[in-house]
Amino acid sequence: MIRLARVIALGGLMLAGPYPVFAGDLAEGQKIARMCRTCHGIDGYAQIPIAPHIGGEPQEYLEAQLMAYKTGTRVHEMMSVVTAGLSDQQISSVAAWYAAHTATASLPEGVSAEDAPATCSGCHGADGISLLLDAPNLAGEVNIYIDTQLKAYRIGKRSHVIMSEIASDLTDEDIRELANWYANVSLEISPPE
Amino acid sequence: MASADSAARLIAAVVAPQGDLIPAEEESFNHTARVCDVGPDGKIYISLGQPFNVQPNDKIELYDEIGIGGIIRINTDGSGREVFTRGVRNSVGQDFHPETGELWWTDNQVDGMGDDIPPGELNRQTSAGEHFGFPWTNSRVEIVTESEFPRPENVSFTEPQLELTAHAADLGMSFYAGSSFPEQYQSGIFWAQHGSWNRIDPVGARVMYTALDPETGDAMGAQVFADGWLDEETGEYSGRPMDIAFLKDGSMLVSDDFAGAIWRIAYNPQPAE
Repeated sequence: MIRLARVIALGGLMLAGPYPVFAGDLAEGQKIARMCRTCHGIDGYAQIPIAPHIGGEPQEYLEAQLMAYKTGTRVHEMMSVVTAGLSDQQISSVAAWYAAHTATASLPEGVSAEDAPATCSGCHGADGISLLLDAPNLAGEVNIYIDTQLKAYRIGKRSHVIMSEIASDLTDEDIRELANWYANVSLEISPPE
Repeated sequence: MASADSAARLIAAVVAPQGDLIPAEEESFNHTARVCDVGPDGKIYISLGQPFNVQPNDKIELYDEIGIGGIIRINTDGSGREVFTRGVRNSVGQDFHPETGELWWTDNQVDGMGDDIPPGELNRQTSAGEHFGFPWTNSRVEIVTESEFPRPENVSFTEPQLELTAHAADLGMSFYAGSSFPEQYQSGIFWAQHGSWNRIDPVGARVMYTALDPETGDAMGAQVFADGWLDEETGEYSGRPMDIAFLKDGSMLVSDDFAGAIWRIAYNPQPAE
């Protein structure tokens, strides 16, 4: 029930359009991002295959995930350690830093957006740029990252009111196909102006 | 090049099947890099990193028994398993002293206590069953309190040989048994530092060296042998050394899982003019 309430609340935010939830200080965020860059890059372009690209993602999504790690509703051996040492304000700031970047996606040559997986594209976009504040970009993520997340939703290791249900019906083959679609998109991330 | 003869003697067999090395209910994705080597006694030595940053109290006894957060040894046919090393957090580098046969190993230490503690470790083991202190101590740093985590009875903790830069991630190590490197590097230990992951100012991404005291056999102090994979201005890595090995000519190979490369470091003295 709590989760449902959160989705409704985010629905309200979506109507209002993107705006900073808290006043994240970009300079402070950039400083904190030094703890993130070895895996996610200082601009949010991931350096290692198990880490997602986070530059240019919605601040709300980033902040919600960091808070989920901090409070233990999402668990990861590295992220849980990192977030435990961050205050709510620092989480806001670092989320603001990465969200201030711009993510630009382009589909491979000859591939049409119409062929994008309908299961995902309504929220994550045909090219993997999120259409919702509560959804991550998927453009250019390594397929094993997307694969791992979908499987985590399917077995309940990660949970979300929409994603858990979607993933519960997917086979391993479905998952790999969706993952490959977004993995084949090229992603560019540009810094804040 | 393997000859047909030697290739015919290669046999692949399972020594410790899945579920046996680590019980299925203790499987984890954390600290799963394993190292294994055949010791001078012909047994296989396998390090088992423990799956937590710091293991909870209710896992300590079980892990101590299985050798998780330790190094086990088994015969090549999989029999005779015993816990050889206790009180390890996550060792990803080991080698046997070429003359004494003693096992030396690196250990990665706790995250989340700060950028400058606790130190990484290089350890020297002189007898079977020695306890190196984790999770109670990491060198001189107390990790958990004895009031909350009762300490095992009749156990003394062996201190590390060297305290290393915190979070630099000391991984693969090897004694130098070649002869082509200069005199100062003969018979010492080289190891790879992968580099830190969440430290504000990254450290590591180097190959390190320590000489050994000819009298006591103890490590004399860590020094940088090779670096340049970390741009200290920008904090960006161009490479991250994982492990080292030596070719027959005494030159060093360094594996790098960030650049996706294997580097070779050889000594090329300038010819006399």
